[in-house]
Amino acid sequence: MNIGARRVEVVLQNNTNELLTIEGFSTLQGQFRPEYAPKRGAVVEKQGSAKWACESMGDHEGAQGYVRLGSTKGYVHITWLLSYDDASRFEHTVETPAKLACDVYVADEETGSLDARVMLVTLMREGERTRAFAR
Amino acid sequence: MAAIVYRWARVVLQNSTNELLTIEGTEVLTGVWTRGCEAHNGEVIDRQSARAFGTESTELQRGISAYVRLGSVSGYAHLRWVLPWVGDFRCEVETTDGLRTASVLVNDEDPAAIAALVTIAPRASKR
Repeated sequence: MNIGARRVEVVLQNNTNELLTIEGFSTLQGQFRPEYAPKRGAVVEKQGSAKWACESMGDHEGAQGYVRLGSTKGYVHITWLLSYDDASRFEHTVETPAKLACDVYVADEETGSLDARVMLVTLMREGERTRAFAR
Repeated sequence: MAAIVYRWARVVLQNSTNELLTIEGTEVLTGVWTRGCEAHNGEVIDRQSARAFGTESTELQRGISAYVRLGSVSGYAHLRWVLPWVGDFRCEVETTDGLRTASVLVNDEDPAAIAALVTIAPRASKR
């Protein structure tokens, strides 16, 4: 990673029996790292996981993007933004269909690595909440 | 590399009558037959026997839809199923005259890969 660059890693843990299919994705700032780039039509198996990484390529650029996944219950839409100007500013959203829910845990908020964030999204059925990362 | 199967539905028909059920019309509307589980016109399901039909979609954002229409000396059974890209699996059975739908059991534990058991019985039969 370049000095001063921003990096976001998104980990999706699918704690459902849904087959999640990547239907759309893009970066708005930065690029996906080739080894962790989403691919249209790729799947996240039931109870499986996936990881995507987005990082800025030049000066004064943050890391921003989204991944959209389809399931039989509807769409899961994950967005993230790690600002270049203010690395303490990390914004993320996860939208889920009515019958699914999620927990979001941002690992590096605790370890102080502001220029590289790891975002863990745990998808589950509505009504099932994990206590593992309850804060 | 094998194609990814995004949606899959296996429908098992149990013929709990003492009549032959003959497939008189069948088509996949969306998706394709699963290899080895195709339905063919003219095919016969023996009395008191079972037959599995498989359909699947390997196309992004494409669900499954298919039907099988079976004839017998007692009437017709029309079986149709749909597994949309987004939405719940539906399986409907219509019977006429001397046939009845005894039960439709759906296993949707894996919502993208469904198994269903449809039992056709004689209308007059009593347990």
